[in-house]
Amino acid sequence: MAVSRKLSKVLRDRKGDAAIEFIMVTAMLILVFSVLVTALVYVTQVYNASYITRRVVRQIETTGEYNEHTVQTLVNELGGDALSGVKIQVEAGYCSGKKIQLRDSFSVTLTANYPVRIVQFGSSVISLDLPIQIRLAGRSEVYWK
Amino acid sequence: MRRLLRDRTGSATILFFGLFFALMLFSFLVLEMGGTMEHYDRAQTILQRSVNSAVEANMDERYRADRVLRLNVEAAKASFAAFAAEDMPEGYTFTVQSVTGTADPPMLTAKGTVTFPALFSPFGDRSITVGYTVRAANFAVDGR
Repeated sequence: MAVSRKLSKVLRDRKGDAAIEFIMVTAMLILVFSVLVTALVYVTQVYNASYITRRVVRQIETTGEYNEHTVQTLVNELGGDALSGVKIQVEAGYCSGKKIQLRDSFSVTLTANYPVRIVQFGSSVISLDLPIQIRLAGRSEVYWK
Repeated sequence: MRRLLRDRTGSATILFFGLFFALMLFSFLVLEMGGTMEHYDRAQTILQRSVNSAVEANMDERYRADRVLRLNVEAAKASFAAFAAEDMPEGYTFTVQSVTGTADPPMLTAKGTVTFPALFSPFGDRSITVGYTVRAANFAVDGR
């Protein structure tokens, strides 16, 4: 009985409520800020992936062929290695080897992940992988005999 | 009247609305400019690809083995218009003011305008028209 009376007194005591309110509001603000920053970084990464895909499409258009090594070098040069698990897939009707005939269309699909670190306990990290997928089409500008 | 003008009651509200309007206008202009650049870049890529392809498709192959490059200019002009019309996305229109070219050296230059919808066109039927100049030359004698 005495314990419940003491607990009731503690719960009704309004001393320090401003400090608790401050801590809770600050925690909420930090959470909202973190979500906003993460969203902003994700949008930036998607924009970057879109730019890389456009450059890859343009390279295949002007050379008229899909060279995996050249494309991978270009992707790395443009900062694609900063994305996690980048994969470039090219769909085309090749006329010979990896050559695409003039005016024939092809599509380039870039897939990657943006890992969002949620919480870290020592060396183990719990993260969420947000997917990034960009698909663009192009046409070869080279006539192959 | 003078008393009314000197009365500072509600000045903060007027200042707030003034700043809000200025901020909205600035945001609108930045977004519209970004959208215009994106559309223009897309149209320019398609037009450049069309002129490159028009030159590539109309090279006279009879002399290429002798390292002589000749362009069928009239056919290239027709190809440019056809390729650009085929590739231009929905909502985009283009005009060709002039297409000039030379057979030797093989070069083609096209000038005109391209029109695309403005970013805020749902709030009024507006579109943006910009000029373009695209040029292509072919110096490939590697027999490809």
